[in-house]
Amino acid sequence: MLEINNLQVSVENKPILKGLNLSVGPGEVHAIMGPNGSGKSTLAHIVAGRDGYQITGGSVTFNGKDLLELAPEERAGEGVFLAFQYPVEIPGVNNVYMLKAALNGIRQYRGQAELDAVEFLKIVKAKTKAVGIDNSLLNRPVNTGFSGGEKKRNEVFQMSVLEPHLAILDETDSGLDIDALKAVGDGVNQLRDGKRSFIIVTHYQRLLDYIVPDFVHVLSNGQIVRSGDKNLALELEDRGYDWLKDEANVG
Amino acid sequence: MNAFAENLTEQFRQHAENLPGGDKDKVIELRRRAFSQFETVGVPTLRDEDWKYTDIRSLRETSYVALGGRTSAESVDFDLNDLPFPSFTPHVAVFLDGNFCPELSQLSELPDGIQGSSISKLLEQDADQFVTRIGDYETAFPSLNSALMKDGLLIDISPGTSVAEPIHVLSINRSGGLLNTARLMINAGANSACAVIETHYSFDDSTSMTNALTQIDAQQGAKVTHYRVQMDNPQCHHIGNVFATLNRDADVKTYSFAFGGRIARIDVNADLIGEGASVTMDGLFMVNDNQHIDHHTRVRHCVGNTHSSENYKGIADGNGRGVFNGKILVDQDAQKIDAVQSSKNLLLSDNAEIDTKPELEIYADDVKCAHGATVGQLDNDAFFYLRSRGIDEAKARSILTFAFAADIAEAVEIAPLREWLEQIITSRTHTAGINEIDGHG
Repeated sequence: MLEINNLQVSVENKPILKGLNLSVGPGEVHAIMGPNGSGKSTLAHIVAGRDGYQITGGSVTFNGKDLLELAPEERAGEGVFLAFQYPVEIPGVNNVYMLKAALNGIRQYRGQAELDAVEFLKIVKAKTKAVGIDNSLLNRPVNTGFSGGEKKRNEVFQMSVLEPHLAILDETDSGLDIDALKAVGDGVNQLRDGKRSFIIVTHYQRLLDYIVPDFVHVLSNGQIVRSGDKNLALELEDRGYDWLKDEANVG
Repeated sequence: MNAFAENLTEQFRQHAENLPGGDKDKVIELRRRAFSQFETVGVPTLRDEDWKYTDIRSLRETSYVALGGRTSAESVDFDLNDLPFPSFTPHVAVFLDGNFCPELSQLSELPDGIQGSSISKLLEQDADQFVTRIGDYETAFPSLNSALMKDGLLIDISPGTSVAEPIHVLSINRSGGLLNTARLMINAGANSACAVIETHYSFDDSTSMTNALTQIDAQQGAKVTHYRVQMDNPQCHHIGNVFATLNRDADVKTYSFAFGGRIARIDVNADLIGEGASVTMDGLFMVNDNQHIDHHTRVRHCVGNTHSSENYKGIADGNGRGVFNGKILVDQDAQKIDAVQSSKNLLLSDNAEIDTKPELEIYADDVKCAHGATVGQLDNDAFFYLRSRGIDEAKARSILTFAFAADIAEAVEIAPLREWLEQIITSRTHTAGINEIDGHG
């Protein structure tokens, strides 16, 4: 599904990703862990199409298409979704209005008919219930004045409405208390259907208690230095990252 | 002298008596005094502090016909459905090339307590009384308006009358080369309430000039809401002046929505002369291509316990240029006043320009006065957020621009006007300037 090959990325001529390889198959959940500054968020942004990065080498393909050639909205149309670490507050733009524009944008990209207000609200109603998002948040300006937990829940809600093929969660657990963490985990687990894939970018192991990954990768100094199953995450929780950094430097 | 003034001087000398009330001494005297003031002050240049951001050289070099135009004998070759906006209300007074147009107007069913009178008729039939209601103005264009006024609407609202539906005064330029001297006078009696929409529109093939003047007198406790919409075509010169006088406890809201013209300059003035008076002056302008729109507001707190609030937003795209200058004057005895002013502006292209300037002159010592001005670009994080959700560039840009201006439109209480404004904001931001946005990445 997603094939990242020897990806090299710089920001202002400073190399951040230094030859990263990752392969994500349908229905798989991959956790990307690593210390601060290792390039985790850069990886998430590159896949979603954020500008401001120089891609100096390598490739990213998604279902056979060169993702790096596509605009962010085209990637969304292909089925990529990024849950932001810091969801953006957009005063003046109604949450549900934005979501309708997004869903219809994606449908248009796929050559499907746009949904009218009634059809759309039916979907919203069903998903609101499933994700457990507070109804009052729906008609407020996007993320504006939301608490940290509400913002993350809103990301999961958007994800459930847009039904991506690949969802990337960028530090979705940061700033969440245990209840919010559990709610986000539940929301994501409901979307696991054996076909949809996930990349969970996280610094800590604790979100992985709720969303159990198939693979865990450790990103350090711009490369994946170790891959394993969920037990690797537990090991990291015990031992920290330093021992892997040392290994990477030696290697 | 310049071609514009020279030409008008000639026309005024030769034809002043052909203007309405030309055989009435009082009217002639008023016109001469006003024209002489126009000549004394002269057409502004960049050297005038109040005009330093707005170069009207192209206007000074143009000769406009002030006294001609369509005669009532000519038939009207369009109807209101041909205009790019709805009528907004059942009460519509249409002025075509400066003259009242009964064929297109619908004023017959005005409710009791409200009277609409043609200014040309008042000049002809009630001159002595009417001229006492025309003040003297210091600056060039209001003086020119008084000197050359042909027609317009005087709205009198009796004390205690509330008018449910707004009155729409629509000034249309159909013929080219004309100077349209539009005049609107609103006299709101004590404790009355009304809403007036003033629209200026010019057909695409009409290269014309409007020099409009609106006078709002709000008596004690009167509530007036005034919406000014400027939709001239991008070749036109547009000058507008609004003068509001607020007596005790009067509440005036005057909005300026400006989208058209090659060069447009709109001055909104409010004098708060009675305690408890409150004025709201909000505005939204959008410029594109080579348009230039300048708003100058001036609030004078003459007495204490008065309130003023200004919220202006500007959106500049292409090579467009916008200006906001907000002056707040507080007289020495005007204690305990409260004045708020905000000017927020959005640049959508690298070649667009906004100049915004607050001007405070405060002579009292116990006042609350807050002001703020910003000029910014679309939020790149929000732009990426929307696009990452599947919304294409043009739509994302349109959504964010709309969000920037939304609060101004939301304040409009007349639903058809609010909805039309929302459409204008959306449609005018949907297409242009995408490349520049990308460049900011």
